[in-house]
Amino acid sequence: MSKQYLQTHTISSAHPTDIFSLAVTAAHILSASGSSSLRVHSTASAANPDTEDPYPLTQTLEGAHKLGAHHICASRDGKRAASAGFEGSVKVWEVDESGAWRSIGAIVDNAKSGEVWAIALSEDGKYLAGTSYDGRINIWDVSTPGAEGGGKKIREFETKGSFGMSIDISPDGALTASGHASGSIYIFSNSTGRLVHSLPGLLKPVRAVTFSPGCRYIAAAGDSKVVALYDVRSGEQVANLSGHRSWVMSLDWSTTGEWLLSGAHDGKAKVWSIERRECVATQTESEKTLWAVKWLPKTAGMRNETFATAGANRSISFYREASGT
Amino acid sequence: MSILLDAIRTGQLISKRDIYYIEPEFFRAQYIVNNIIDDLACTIGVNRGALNVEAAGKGLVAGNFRLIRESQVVLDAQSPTEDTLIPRLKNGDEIDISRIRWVMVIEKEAVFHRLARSAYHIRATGGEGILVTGKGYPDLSTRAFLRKLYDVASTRPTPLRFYALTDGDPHGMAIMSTYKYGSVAQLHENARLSLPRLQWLGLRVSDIVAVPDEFGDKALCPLTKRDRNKILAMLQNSPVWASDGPEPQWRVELQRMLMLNFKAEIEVLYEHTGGLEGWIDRRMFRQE
Repeated sequence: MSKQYLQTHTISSAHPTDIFSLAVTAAHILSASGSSSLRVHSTASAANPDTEDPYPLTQTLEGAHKLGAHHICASRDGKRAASAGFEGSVKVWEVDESGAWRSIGAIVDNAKSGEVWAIALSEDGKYLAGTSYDGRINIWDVSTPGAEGGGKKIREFETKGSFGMSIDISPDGALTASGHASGSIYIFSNSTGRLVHSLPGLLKPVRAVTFSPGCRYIAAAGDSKVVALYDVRSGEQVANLSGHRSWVMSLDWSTTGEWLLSGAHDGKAKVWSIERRECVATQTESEKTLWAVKWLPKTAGMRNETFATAGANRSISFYREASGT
Repeated sequence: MSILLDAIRTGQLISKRDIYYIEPEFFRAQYIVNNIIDDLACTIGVNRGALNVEAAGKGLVAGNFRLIRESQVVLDAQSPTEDTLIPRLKNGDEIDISRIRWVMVIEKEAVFHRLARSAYHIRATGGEGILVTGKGYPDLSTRAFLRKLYDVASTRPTPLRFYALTDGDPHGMAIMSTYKYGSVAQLHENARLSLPRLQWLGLRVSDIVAVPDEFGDKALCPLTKRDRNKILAMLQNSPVWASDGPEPQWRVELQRMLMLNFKAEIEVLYEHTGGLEGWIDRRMFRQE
């Protein structure tokens, strides 16, 4: 049994060049690209089918990262966001009641190897986790804006030195997971600072890791093209979801935990049923790389699941589950 | 300076290497000679050729064209087995490129030899062409030769296509930029030696990643920290790679390389069905 998704809208040329990352809050979708500006589009009126422009551009954060930005993330409570630029710094952003985002600080990792790469924010936006080229995982306390230039480093996890390409913080804040170029996946306890699991199975670069909403599972994927599913408590691999024919660049878990979304280098996005452990839908907008895929959080008035994809075609496309499936 | 004066008076060309060897104890190092000459040329406001200093050439060329000097054919670059050094051009030289449809600038000498030996410049499906390599960063006489081809071709109705064939790594892309825009070190030579219509044929890392099963695991190499730093330096320092610069497609390829964390060497195409030559044929056709 498969699901049907329809493309409902595309923001064409949302950026002048590749869009590398997306972040979503209840009200906005934020996008980072090879250009120096971040863009914010509103998702508030999208549920209304009569709206002419369901995802209007509400803000351009000009010059956020001079050489372009490769990662952007938002806290689950929707109040904070963080962006990482190719020049090596991370900016922390906050949204006010009017819906405007502003920068409240920047983090520069001063360790010799520099280059903060993948980033994730905790649910409440208080903690920022980041990977680096030499495999270190750092956690900063970003709760007090302006303090110590943006954030105080409170944890540093050392791993075997392979480039950390992906990261996620579990929704309950207990764990941080990282995926590396060597295929390694590590799960650390944020409270004890100790390594909890080193997950087996993926032998090639892990470009995406994501905890399920209930923290029961973690999904990971990358150049081996399969999406691996692990039980967080035991560390055991419980499923291998195959179907992608090209490198998986991005993963996202739906709010209910029922569906997993993946995007790949060949432009295909797939929706997977966690219960049935199989692909239930494949969407292809173009052959251009999908660098980022994200579910939109379900808000009042939105009956069906919606997700967004973005990448080398410079557009953000929206897909909604067709009614009746 | 007296050495240069002599050279100008007698009409003789002298290379920077020759100058150094006249009095090596006095000059102490080659780079000192190079710097003095560049400074003199820049200060006087001429290019190096006016001082009768020419770079000792290292570029190679293959192709069915003729270099005519004082009504005589002085160069035949057609032999597939013998290397032809890129000639130092003189004022009044003419180049007959009437049969030529394209010019390919090749980063690496080994790749040049592969294509010259398989007579690709004659057998390409895109028609006859000229293969050039500067063996890495091109010297001035290689750039001058290419610019001459460009200038001669500008006067004819059918355009001459210029392609660059490099590794999919920051080094290869920097070399390509030098062919097209010149080097940071020699800014005052750049305008007259640029190659405005040079297009990047490949190899891009994305080309290999797009067909992951075709080339196998060894096809791609991870970027080293040095590679990543070089990409950042290119994005940061040079106007060629700027976001409002002349090459947005090159710029995004550098960023994609950082995202993918891989680089690719041209040699992986040797394993391709149809080989390197088949891949180039197809790519040239697509870029028409």
